[in-house]
Amino acid sequence: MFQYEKTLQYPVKISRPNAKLAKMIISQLGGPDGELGASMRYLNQRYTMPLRELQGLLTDIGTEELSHMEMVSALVYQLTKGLTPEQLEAQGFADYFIDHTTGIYPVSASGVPFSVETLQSTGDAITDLSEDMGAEQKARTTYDNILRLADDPDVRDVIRFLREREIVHFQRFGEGLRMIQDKLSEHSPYPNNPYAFNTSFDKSCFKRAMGR
Amino acid sequence: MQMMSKASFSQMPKDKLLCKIRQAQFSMHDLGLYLDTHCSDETALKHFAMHKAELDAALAAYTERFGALRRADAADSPNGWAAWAKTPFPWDKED
Repeated sequence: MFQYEKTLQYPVKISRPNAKLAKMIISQLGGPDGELGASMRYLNQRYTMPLRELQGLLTDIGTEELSHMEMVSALVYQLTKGLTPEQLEAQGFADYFIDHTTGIYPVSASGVPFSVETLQSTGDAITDLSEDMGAEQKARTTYDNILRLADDPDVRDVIRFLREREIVHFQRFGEGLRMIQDKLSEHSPYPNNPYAFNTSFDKSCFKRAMGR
Repeated sequence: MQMMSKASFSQMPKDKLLCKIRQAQFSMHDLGLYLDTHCSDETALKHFAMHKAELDAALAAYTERFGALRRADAADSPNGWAAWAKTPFPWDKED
């Protein structure tokens, strides 16, 4: 169950609207490495994750990504608020405007609608956690690229916060992956072969390997 | 870390109080991610409890003065349900 808190994880207060910048930043809502994909990836991977601690980690990071989705949406909303159709067109927002006015719709910077094909849930703990580490680095790169092009200090401050969280999540997922591997090498009859069975699917093998 | 009491929160300007709430929420969340895989780290647990106490005091003061941030607290506000339902959502920068 989820409950809403009526505050952003980190405040968004933009003083200068800029639709051109909004069009770049919206990629972190609906783009291939955006926050919507991140939260769907982790929240869907939780169910088959073999260790309860790791189910908890995916739940907590997946939930944080929902708050990041809300922050990116707040950026896009404020950057396009109060502009005239002429200003929106002059700032390169016409194609988005025709389909969505200034409503928030998850697309990439190039206008491709969000696709779940950008994420995976394989039902294999090692594969999923490795994907998660890659996903955090891909999102970090996207934030780096936004920082190369965004010159508004109000926007940069929020983007820097979000970028830093990608690095923290990468560390946490790395520890999660190591946790499974350490447990296997401590207890498993195959200590040097973490691929002897699928820890998420071959539950009886996993339980036996863990001495349960 | 210096702990703040509910009394000091009841004097604080709205934006500063909200900032304290966010800081406590963030500290708890970040420590929580670490604790997920390090369940018995005493130092982290101690810090988590400290931020939790501060958040509880700050949230109680905020709800009383400006309205609830969580629906479960909406009935606790002296201004009634409207203080939850009619306050701006956080993406509106006016607040």
